[in-house]
Amino acid sequence: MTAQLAGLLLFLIPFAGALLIPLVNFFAPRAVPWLAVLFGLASSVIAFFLLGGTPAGAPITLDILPGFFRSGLLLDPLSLVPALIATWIGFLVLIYSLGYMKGEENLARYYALVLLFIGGMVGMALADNFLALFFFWEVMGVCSYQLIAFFYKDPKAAAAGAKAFLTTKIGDIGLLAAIIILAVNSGSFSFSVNFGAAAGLALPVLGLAAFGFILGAAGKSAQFPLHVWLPDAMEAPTTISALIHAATMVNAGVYLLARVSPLLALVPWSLTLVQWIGAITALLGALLAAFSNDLKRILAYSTVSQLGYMVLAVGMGAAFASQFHLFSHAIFKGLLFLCAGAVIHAIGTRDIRQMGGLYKHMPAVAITFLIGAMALLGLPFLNGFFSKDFILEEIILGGAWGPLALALIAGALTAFYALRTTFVVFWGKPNYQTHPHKTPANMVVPLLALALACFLSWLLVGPLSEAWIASGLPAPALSALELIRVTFSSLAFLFSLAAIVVGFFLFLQRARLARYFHEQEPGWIRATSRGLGFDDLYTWLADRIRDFGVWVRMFWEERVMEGINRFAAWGSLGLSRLSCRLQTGDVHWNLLYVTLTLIVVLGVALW
Amino acid sequence: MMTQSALLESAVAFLIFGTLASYLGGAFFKQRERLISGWIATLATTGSLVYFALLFPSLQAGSAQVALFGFIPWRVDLLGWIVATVGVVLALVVNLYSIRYMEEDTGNSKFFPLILLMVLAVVGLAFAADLFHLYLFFELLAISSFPLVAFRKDEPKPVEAGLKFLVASATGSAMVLLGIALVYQGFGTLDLVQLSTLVVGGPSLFLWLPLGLFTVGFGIKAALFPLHTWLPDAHPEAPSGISAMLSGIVIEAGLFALLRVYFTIGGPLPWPDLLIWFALLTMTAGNLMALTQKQMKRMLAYSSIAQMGYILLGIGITASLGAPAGAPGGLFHIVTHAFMKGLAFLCAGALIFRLGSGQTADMRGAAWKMPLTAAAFTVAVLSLAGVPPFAGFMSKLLIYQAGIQSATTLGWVASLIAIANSVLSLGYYLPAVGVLYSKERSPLVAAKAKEVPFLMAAALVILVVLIVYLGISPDPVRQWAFQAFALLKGGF
Repeated sequence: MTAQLAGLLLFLIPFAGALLIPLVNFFAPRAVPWLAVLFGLASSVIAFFLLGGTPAGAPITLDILPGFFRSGLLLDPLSLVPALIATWIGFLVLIYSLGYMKGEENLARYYALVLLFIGGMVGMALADNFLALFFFWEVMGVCSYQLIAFFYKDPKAAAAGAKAFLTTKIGDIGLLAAIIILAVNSGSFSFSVNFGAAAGLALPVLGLAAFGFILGAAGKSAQFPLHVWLPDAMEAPTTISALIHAATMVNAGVYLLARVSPLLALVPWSLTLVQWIGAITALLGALLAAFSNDLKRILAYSTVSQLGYMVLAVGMGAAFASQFHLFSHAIFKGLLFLCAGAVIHAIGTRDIRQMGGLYKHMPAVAITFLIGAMALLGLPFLNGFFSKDFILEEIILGGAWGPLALALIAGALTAFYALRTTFVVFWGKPNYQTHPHKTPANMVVPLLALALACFLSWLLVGPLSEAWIASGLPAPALSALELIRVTFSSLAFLFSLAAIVVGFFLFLQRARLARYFHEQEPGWIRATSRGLGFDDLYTWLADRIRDFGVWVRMFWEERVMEGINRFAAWGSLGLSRLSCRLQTGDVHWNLLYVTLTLIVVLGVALW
Repeated sequence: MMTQSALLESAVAFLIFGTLASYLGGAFFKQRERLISGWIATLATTGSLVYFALLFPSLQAGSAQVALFGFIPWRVDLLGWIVATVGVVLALVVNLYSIRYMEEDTGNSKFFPLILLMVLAVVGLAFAADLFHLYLFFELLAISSFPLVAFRKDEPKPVEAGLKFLVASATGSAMVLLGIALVYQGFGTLDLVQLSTLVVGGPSLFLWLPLGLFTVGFGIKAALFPLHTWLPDAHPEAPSGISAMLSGIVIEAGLFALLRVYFTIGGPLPWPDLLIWFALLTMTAGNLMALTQKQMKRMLAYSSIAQMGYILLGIGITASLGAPAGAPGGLFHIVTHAFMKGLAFLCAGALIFRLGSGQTADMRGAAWKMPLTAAAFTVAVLSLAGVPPFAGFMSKLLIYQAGIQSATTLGWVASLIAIANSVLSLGYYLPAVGVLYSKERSPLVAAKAKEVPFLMAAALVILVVLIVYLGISPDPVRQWAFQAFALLKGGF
């Protein structure tokens, strides 16, 4: 099987599954989950063909609808990452859902949406033009909204779905505007054509397009200031919130930024903007994660924070560093989520204050979670350490000291919340009533595999950079040894070590910190627990917009239109009553009218 | 193949002998006078209609002089044929309808002959070649309608209405007669074709007086505002079949007479745009006054006044602004109005037939027990308001078009006012439909309502079919209306 056929099948198979499932649901509803898994399995097997088959040189394109709309498949290392993440993590979601979603209603809808989402994300990643990208981008958006609001009878879930949809829609509008600007300029939707033609655009127009792309990416990847939908999206079934949103879809924004980075490079301020967005998001995510008590939320915020690092890397013009971190992050965050799933499964709650001392009951989970957390905070020789240091190094090289400072504070906070979460969950004072379920062996195996990967995955930096260079994408030629040498000899190493130390210190002082926060209750801590007021601000803004709409409607409908209606009705009824007085029913009057008419008619003639 | 005059004589003979046979048959068999009179009248109108249909092909070439029965001077043209045929069709439907509708009344051996006489007068009016015979049939029409309006002579209101009708009509007739006398004094002839050639070189200034008298005299008959005052009394008080005839063809006959006169001797009109102003005034006043009526038939009577405004507007736009679509639009509206207003009155009659009350409020919820009647009424009023796909839309459209076609300010304004009037008319048509389809039912409806008998229902269905047919495919008839005016030379 060639890579292009595999790429085509990779999104056609999930789409076919999404179409087939409602039909199968009519006569065999119990087969639906298995059918979905089957489709997921098929595409994840096919996904392996993508790895080996990418030939060097020009990207592969393929006419999907010749004559009507020329679209193609773009298979390069950049596009493969989100496609593979979608396929493989999607497959994991499907398997995980078999048990997790058992007994829920409307499973056909659930599985059809998950498959549609997978197909949408693969299509988005493999599209070689903006129009197809936008189409699949929206498919993802719709699926995500539907899945967040899957338990639509719960008003919180329905509201969260609507919030996610509306928030990302703001970004989508930006993306669409950017695409239209480029398409009008070049007359084509193709990436390569537009990247070539973009230099001809006036800087303000190009800046507008760049801003649109940044906005679109911020919406999808839950970046500041459009991050507000992600915490609420935790209302979705765990499979969706943890895996689809926190681990899969959010990568789409980073991918988009990396994809359009040639354009961003043409607009000087846009990269700065991206840097700051990334840095603020990294800090914000870490801060929110540090003050959350919901295990799923901690991991979700942590994901936002790590995505901030990746966006920051793109902003530094280091797409390779961002993708390298994305690769590491997928492994250690996947590990953390699976561990969290095992813990939540065992305890039956998501609140870490009701956990503690779980090491005794599930040592394997505890150790692997610890490894994941260490990778997250960037302990040397774990994959997270190398990739995060790579990014910091690029920041230092680029001289972006402001974002660097934010990123380092975020690093310290990351160390703090990673240690805090691990300790509270697995070593702290037991705080639960129920007896924890034992972790099944088949859940432990993937944990161990992923933990091992946390130690080893950074060794793949050599092949990765080779593949990038072979595809003509900008990447430094690095081998693993080179990476070690560069990492340990750089200033970034010291900085990140310092951040970890500060985080560790904070962790040690957590009891005093907690007492301080509890007694003093500084304003910013209250603000943090309320999402730093962004929700309030947006709610306020939305309310004002709605009030304005209501006012306009009131004014137009109730005053103007209704006024016209009332006046017309009142006027014609009044005239009617008035004119009916002419109808006296008296013959004398009748004849008088006749006479008067004759006089007027003849009079007009003579006059 | 029969000659044109033979065809025409046969058609008229059916009406004349139908009148006699219907009366004598009813008078001899007093026990069954309604059925015998009614069926004879129905058959007579059917026979007449057949001959009118046969007459149609010979009219394509233009008008022809015919001496009916050797002594009545007629000119036969498509314009007159359309009006006469519409009258005969409507009379046929009304006869069919009245056979059951009149079952509570006495003296039916006079009712049906009078209808036939009325149609005969319409036919005569349509083809009359000179002003004298025009007047003669005009009077025959009036005389046959008075007793029909006051047919329920034991009740005070119909008699009062009949008297008012008589007074107004007589006033109009006197003016027309004076006008004719003046014309004869001025030109020495009453033949319309001759007159049309004479007025071109003749004493045109002198014409203002006879034309003014004709306008007001025929205007009374056509119920132009403010000469309409007899109509809201007379039309509702007549039996519903007669209401249908009066609103459907009799007042149009007055307008038709006016049209004949204007198209022959109205060439040097002393009043530019007079007809348009009359038309706008009439339709607006009619609609406004209809808006607050409590009785269904009275509301329909006022709506007739408004519809006369539309017809007159079409004719006026062609006469004074020269837009070609106007007069055919007006003529086509005469055709569609005869059917739709006839249907509306017959439906109102059907409701009264079952409920015994003409108050709109008493008909609340009747649709659920009389679905066919209510549906037919809905079709009729929607068509009257000019809603597609019914006939009224097509004819009103032509009139609107004409105003815009004329490319004058007055034409535009007239069209816009006419359109606004259609909207206004929905203000009373739709509530009437809404009352019929109300979920609540009035006590009368709960007690008495049930679907009308077969013959009445058949009459309603015939008219519904005609209205929907003309609405969807207006073309043969609409083309005839255009053709009728294209063939006109000197009024014929």
